[in-house]
Amino acid sequence: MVSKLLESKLSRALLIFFAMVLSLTALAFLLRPVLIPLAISLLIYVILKPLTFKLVRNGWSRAQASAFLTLLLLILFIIWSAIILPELISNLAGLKDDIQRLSSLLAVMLVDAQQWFEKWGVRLDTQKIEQLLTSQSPAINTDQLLQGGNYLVTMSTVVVLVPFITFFLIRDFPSLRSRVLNLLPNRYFELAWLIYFRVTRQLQGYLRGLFIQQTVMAMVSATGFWLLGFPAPILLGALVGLFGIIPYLGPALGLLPPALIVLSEQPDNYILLVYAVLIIVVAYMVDNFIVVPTVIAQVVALHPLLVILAVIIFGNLFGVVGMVLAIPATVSAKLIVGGLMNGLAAK
Amino acid sequence: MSSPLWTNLFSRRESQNETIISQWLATPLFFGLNRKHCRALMPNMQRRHYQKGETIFKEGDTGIGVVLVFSGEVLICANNVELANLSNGDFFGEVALVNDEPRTADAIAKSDCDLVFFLRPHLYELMSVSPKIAAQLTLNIAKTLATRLRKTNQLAQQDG
Repeated sequence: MVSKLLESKLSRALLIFFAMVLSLTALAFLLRPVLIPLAISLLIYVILKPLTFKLVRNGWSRAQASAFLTLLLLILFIIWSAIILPELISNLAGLKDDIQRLSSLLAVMLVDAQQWFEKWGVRLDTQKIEQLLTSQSPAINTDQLLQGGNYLVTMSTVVVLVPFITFFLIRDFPSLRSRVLNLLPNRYFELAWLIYFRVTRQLQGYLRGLFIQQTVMAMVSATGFWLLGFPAPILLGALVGLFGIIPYLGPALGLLPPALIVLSEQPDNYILLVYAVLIIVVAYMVDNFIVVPTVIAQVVALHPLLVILAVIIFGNLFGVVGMVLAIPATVSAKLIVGGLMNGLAAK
Repeated sequence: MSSPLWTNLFSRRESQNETIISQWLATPLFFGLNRKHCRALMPNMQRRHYQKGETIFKEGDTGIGVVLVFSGEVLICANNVELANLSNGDFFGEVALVNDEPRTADAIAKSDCDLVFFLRPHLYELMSVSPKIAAQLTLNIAKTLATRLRKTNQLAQQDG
């Protein structure tokens, strides 16, 4: 029965795929103290890869290119810490006040609603709803976020390790990759390289595209918020870009912070709320008409239905992180299983 | 004075790499390239050991690279007919450098052998990093394939 099942190329491919997933999960578990800096460094390496190639094409050695790019990263990080970070922290504190103000406003509205409903003989359990509102607020606790011990430990690990790992990844990644893939048996060596190249080409293209896409979105919306006089335009723009990495829910989530600010500071100013929606719409139009056709198109060839299903399933299993990882994980699974089926069919 | 153990360890590897470079440079695939170009390609070359009788690849397998026989002997055959007997310095499988098609023959290690693979994705990577070298290599691949085609045509004419 088992041997008959293993004769099918699909079951063999799936078996190898799940073995790979298990091994990667075990590896991630072992590496968990350095998983975040490692993931950030890999992301930076992928984003900087075209620039590395450009430098090497112009006669630089890989070591020189990696030293230069790591130095550039450090300088950018220092500028970010000195100029943008304090601004973001003060913006976050302001947003926290806005959320608290909004929560009190909602409590007042709740009392009005209760009186209105009582006229019709309906009784609302306002105490429960109010309790729910106050327990949810403030949603962003800046004190915890910025002064918590864990946060500082994680941040310092990231700050120390990321430039270090990134330097070695840029310099030595090809030889590290060769050493790892050379551990495979002779029979599967070429197939493994083929699948590796197909998966990484798609994933790297997707990640670079996503980075460019969200940077453009953040810049367009931050400019819009700034031009129309919204408070904390950099933070609001950054949040639009950050939420944008969540497929389908991104636009709605990106609208949430500016809407909260408008509702808490000027609840009667509907025009400002319309402006917030307009800014998000313009940012997404720039994305759909300029960025997607030039940067993203053809990078990930997945059916829209498969994308929606993947986002729902991964979201359900792993929350927001799962939603972000849904597309790259589905693309990888599709390419690995497809590649294994083709390769194993011939063997 | 340096330790003979360490000197030997490093010099052996280095001299083997230099031999591989010399062997590649002697093939028509690397015509027009110099040792410096070849040395830059070495980190991407995959060296593998095969035991006598081991299948290197089978007809229909997905292939992605050209293979250089660094040492030992390799038998190329199709439909149980021996097509070629290759030894050190020879290369095979260059069709896989150009397209995604399956391998057209079987390759079997006739004796214990060491092979060096140069893979298609590395050629593509080379196009981004060193377009001139990649262009020369691509031209050489085209010339090699053209020569093989001409020889096959001559054989077909002789048989016909």
